[in-house]
Amino acid sequence: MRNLAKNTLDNGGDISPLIIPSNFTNGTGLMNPSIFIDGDGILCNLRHVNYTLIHCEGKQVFGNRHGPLAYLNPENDLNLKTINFMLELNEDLSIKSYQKVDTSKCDVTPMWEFHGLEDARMVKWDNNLYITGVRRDTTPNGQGRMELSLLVDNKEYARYRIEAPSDKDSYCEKNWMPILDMPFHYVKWTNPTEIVKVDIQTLESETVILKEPIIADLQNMRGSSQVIRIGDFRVCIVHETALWKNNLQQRNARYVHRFVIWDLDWSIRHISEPFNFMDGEVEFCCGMALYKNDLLISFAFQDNAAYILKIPQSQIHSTIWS
Amino acid sequence: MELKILLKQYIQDPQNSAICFKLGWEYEKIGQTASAAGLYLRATEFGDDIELNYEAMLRMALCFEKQGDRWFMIKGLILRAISLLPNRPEAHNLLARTYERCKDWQEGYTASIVGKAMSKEEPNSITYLEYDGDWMFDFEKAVCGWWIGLFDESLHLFRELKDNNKLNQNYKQSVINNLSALGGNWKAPIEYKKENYHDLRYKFWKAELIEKNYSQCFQDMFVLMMTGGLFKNGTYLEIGCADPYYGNNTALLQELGWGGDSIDIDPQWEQKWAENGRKCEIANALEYEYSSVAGTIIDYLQIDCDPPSVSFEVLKKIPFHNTKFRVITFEHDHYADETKSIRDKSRKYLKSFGYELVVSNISPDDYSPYEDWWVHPDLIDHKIIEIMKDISDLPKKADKYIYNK
Repeated sequence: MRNLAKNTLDNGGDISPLIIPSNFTNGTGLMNPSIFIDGDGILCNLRHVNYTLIHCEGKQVFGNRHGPLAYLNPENDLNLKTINFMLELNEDLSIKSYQKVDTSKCDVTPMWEFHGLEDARMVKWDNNLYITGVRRDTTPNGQGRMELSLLVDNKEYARYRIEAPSDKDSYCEKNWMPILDMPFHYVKWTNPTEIVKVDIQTLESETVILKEPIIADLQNMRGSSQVIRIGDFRVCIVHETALWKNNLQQRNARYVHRFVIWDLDWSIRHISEPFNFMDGEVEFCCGMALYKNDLLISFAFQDNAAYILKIPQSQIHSTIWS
Repeated sequence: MELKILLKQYIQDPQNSAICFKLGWEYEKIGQTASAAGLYLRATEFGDDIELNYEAMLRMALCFEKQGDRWFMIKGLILRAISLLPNRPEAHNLLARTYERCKDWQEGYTASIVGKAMSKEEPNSITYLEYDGDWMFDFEKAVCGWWIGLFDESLHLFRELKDNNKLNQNYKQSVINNLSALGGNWKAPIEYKKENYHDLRYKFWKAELIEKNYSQCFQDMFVLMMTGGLFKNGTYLEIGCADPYYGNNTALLQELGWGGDSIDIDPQWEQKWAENGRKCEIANALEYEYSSVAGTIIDYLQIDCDPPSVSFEVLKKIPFHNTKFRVITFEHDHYADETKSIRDKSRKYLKSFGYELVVSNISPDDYSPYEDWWVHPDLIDHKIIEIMKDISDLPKKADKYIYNK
């Protein structure tokens, strides 16, 4: 399978780790960064979790009683906690500043074991900066809904929890991909393509475009990056998940990613071959942006480390149309 | 910068276990323990080098230790490492330490013993796995042993560790703190009772009449044995007398009609002695005027001051040139003597005045030699000396000695 980082480095690209000091994180996972170009500035939301992912990806002989894929929490706190850091990056993609996103104005006592806004993507709509992801701590059963958090000076000024467009009882809505050039619109599903529009006044959403599937066996693609405009196309990265169990009925998983390209009428024009980023089986992308003609992709490796991949202009076309 | 270089090497060869390990180590060095642990695990998953896998498992354990409160996983990783190289010491040491930190005392005690026994190979790691030598097993054994009630063994180990020059400063301080906190310098007296009569090493004249004694380690019974039995008007000079009865070496003698001088530097004892009808003089033994005993024969001399260097200085103040003592008990506290010199100095000094060592290294337990017992051979029956003599280098637990077990 194509290793996107290797392919990029072999063709003049670069990679930058995103690291903030461990005294802010206790050394646990920094993951799922979401890059965003704001005028001349480069911003990146970086998710921090209180666990460490343990994933046996090779011979499967160094596992533990939790199985080959486990989330290692503190033993006295089994809650999976997310906080977000807002990074400002230099032109060379090193970190200029970092600050924890202050959610104190909107926080309430969590009612379920996953705390915080997960896998937040950055977006600027109507001149307001938002991070948008899934939150599952507002009901006793962990029901997930997409939320938009309005940020002002790195503080969460308002929080909007969006209802699903049709099935109001659905358990978990997540990985909706914000469309950067269409305010308050998301790609809710890729194939068949479903575009939803959200109303932050009513907190409702409605499906505004629903296409026919184009490839029958590729209907399980889930959202990853934002949807960005490249020329006359809209482009995103999606992921697919393979889940299985070993002989001990312990779960395991593998993620692969693809580029998806639509024309401006939301007809899928291309779905790339699957790729991984750094040969890991658990990797995840939450951000993509064009910056000075280069394509920047922010992703996490094993839920434990975050990187930005810089694909030079000369390689963008061949990379996404592969 | 090194991290980015290694990252690019990793990207070129992502299943190279050595590169995974090195990149993990770079992340760990800057505190990114989650990133490091993932890469260490990857090193083991794709690597066939058992030594590297061993080290990677232990590095993961150390990463999780830094994160805190992940003990179950830590134990599993260390045990898995032991299964790879069971004769290497690093994992055994971390296992014992982990049990100790989890307060799994029995497990920690056992792991320290098993680990030390199993560790037949030398440590051999690329990175520091927090193993500094086999004394670390003794440290864990001492800590865990205390909490499962093995007090004597624990104190003995701590004392040995205190004298071990291989300990680093942190452990040395911890040993000192433990010794201080555990109050290991005093043992309750081992009491003689009438029913023990038949076990006495030497049944002195009318010994069957003794109901009980007071000394900590049978010093009073030893004095009576060496001097031949119950007779009145015996004399003593008791330096460092402390409590008038509890652990006292002359209380029984006085009850039998002996008399003499008892001195102590601590003023708290004066009133307590008076309340018990005994007389104690509060004085600094180093400044005491011993001329009052000059030119006489005293039946018993006790020297018991702290620290042992003071006992030795007091010993040098005694007018041995013109005074003889039938029996001397000298407390050198060898088990706690940081200089480890007082015992030898005192032996040379007393021998120079013709005294004969009858019992060496008396101890309240099997580990704490703290006194030598002497006689003047001109004043003691040689047959009794022969019966009582035991001057091996080993600590002699007082009750085993006095009951000849």
